Amino acid sequence: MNARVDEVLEAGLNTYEDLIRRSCDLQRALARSLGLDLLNTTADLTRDIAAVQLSGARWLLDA
Amino acid sequence: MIALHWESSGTGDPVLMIMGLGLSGGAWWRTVPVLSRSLRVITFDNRGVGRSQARFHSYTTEAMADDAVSVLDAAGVENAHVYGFSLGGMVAQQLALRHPGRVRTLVLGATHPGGPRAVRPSAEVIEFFRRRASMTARDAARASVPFNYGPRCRREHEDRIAEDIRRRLAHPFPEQAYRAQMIAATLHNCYRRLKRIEAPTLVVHGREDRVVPVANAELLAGRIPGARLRILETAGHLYSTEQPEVDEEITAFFREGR
Repeated sequence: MNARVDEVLEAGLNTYEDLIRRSCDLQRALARSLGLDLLNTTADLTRDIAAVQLSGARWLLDA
Repeated sequence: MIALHWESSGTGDPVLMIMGLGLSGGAWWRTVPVLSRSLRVITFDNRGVGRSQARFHSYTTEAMADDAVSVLDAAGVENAHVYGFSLGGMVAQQLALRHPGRVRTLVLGATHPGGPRAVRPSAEVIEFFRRRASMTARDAARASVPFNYGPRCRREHEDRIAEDIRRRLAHPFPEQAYRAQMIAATLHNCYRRLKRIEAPTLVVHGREDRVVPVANAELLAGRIPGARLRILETAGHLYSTEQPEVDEEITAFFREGR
């Protein structure tokens, strides 16, 4: 793969990862302030689904 | 709901120990007495294993790294030296990447970076680990010996292997948790991001490791900036059984990285 394309794709994945982190942090903060444990569960799910997506995408980039 | 069992021993700078596939924190029994002479050693059972519980058996190394941070929080530790072994080493990589401020130094033992560049074990080893999930704990522990230990250890240290097995059987784990950890290890992929690890890192690996081939240690050390590589000649996967003196070297690495 062209090195420039590779860099852009990697940067895109890193940005997506950061967004997921922020989304999870927000859900956990809301869970604490509202006392809604369900939001902790959704934060875990968000993290784990994104982890699988990112692992797969990075796998394709390295293959 | 996750409930994690953790223990702390010794005083000094904190070290968080993260154990590998299907093993509880108690599997650090050879290493903890050495490190805790001069350090505070924190061990824990990964989710679903030993005395820790998990409502859902669906794991990723990212989730397990977040578990490790919750152990640090519970122990009142802002940042720690981190020692991850095998699957625990994959979790330690994620910990250093996801929570860099919590990791002072990093030791990666007998582990791999994941992704397509990681070097896979032989088909025989992969097939064994698939079958192992459905074996009884006792049968699995005995059948694992040729894979976990180097030939010299099997020849010269049968007593140590027997003691390892006895300790391991004290904390059997549910098959579901084992399968979930296998999936986490399969999905693990930090290869691309290793260059972002800032913590001083030591990579330790046995030359005769059949479970995680030694080429993975070279990959890790080559990708992590400034990482040191320590290859233990003649040692297999569970290298500290065969060469327990390596724990002194690891202690020295942590102490110099204070």
